[in-house]
Amino acid sequence: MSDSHSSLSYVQVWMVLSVAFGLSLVATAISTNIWSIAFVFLIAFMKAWLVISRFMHVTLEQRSIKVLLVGCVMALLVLYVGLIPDIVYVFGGDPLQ
Amino acid sequence: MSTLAIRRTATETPTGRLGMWWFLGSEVVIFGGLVTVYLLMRMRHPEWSAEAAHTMAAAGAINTMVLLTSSLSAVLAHEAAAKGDFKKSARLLFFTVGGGLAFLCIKAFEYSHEIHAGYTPMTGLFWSFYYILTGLHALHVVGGMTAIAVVAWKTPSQKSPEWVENVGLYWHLVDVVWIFLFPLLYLAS
Repeated sequence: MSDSHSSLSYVQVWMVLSVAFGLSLVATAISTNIWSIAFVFLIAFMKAWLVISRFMHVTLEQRSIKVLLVGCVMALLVLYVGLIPDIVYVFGGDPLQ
Repeated sequence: MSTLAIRRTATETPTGRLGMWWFLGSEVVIFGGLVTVYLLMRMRHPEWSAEAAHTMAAAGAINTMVLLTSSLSAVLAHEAAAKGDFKKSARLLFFTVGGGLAFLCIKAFEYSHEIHAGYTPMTGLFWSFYYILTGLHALHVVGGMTAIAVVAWKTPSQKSPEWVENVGLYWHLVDVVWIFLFPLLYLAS
């Protein structure tokens, strides 16, 4: 763990996470159209990255750890793409509609 | 005489932490696989929006804050352990366990309310996904609480910052999973 991560910065990260979460709640309270949903998921990805980078310190880890995690995410992408033909076969049409 | 290697020279990473990252990688695939299938099915079933509107978004929102706060206490516990203050680290870890307990109580309240309203895993595919995803997550919360409680109990005597870091890593993953489950199941209605 790096000395650059002080207690204050952890609390600040938590405050940013809380404000971001509040914004996503406000967005869905105002509207549930596609743009507000997209905004909510954008916020979710940002929050996840903050936790992974600042609380789990993944940016300070060795490259082998980063390769491991990227490999897992790539496996999920392969699964997603690989399942599309199955969904089309069972339900028909374009699954991305 | 044989001893356990505590550091992998190839990666310069402590063995315990390397093992934890491998474990977390497998967890990413487990939850990611379920979420991937849920997303594909959700795109084929726009009517699930009406079903998702029956989930208790307020309770889910409170649980999100509970997990974010317990993640903060977990990383502060690691920081305290790294500085050699193992008593403070143990206190913060027990606070994290309390956060997990609060999360489970709120989740149990939600389940009770939804089941009494007639929304069970048999009600439909959306509710099957809802109970599988949140139930599997809740099991991970129980597992994390147990591991953290054991480490918190032993930390003042064992004085191992690595243990505190490893259970903290696991708890942060539980938090990250919930960060995605909340909008997927509660907000995207």
